[in-house]
Amino acid sequence: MSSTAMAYFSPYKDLVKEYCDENGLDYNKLIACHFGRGKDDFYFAHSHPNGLHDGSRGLLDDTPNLGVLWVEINKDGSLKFVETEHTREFISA
Amino acid sequence: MIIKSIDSPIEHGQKKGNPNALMHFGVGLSSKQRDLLLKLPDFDSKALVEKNAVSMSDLSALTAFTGDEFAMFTKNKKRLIIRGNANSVNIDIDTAKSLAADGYRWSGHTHPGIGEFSLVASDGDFEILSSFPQTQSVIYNSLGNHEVFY
Repeated sequence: MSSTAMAYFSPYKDLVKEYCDENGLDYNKLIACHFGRGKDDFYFAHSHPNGLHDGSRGLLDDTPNLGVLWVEINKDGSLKFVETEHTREFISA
Repeated sequence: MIIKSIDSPIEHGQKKGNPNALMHFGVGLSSKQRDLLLKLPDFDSKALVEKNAVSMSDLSALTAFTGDEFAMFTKNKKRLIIRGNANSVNIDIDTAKSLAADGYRWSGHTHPGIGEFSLVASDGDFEILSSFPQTQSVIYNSLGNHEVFY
């Protein structure tokens, strides 16, 4: 995770780690995934296994990566975790 | 809220050019967006416009209208818009590096779709991002929702 992304994620990392520990997920695998964030949510995604990337194609193949965890930030600062069909496949403990 | 007649649909004051309205209520593009789309008729069409003539929300509307991706690069007071197709834009690493060397930054691009995962970056997005001296860019979907990726 880049330092810019970590600056955004830092306030939530303890809660995310707690969720991982309580739900049989590997926190280190999770934070090795790609990270993105919106106004009041953030997500982790794993590289698409069918991608044709050789480091040069760029947007010639823009197949979105596979979301493994979506996190909604509630107004009180608590988090709502939404697993996907790829969660257990890629970030199980 | 305006009710034209008992038999006509209730108008919710949906503005033309609003991506969400385009997707859900079938309202059309704004005149500014229509003019831009005329400059971008096909895959790999390019248009160089004034910075204040286009926003990422406009590209989201174009994506909602066409089903295609659009990418935006900004240099000073100009924006370069490139039309793609449903799952790509003709920007490889060499092209990205050339744009970066020319002083452009990657303002963002669109992914067609309305689900949350239409906002997830691809490996290709990261490859392009790494070609620019910036640490983040943005993806808009067909509803005008957006996520930043790093």
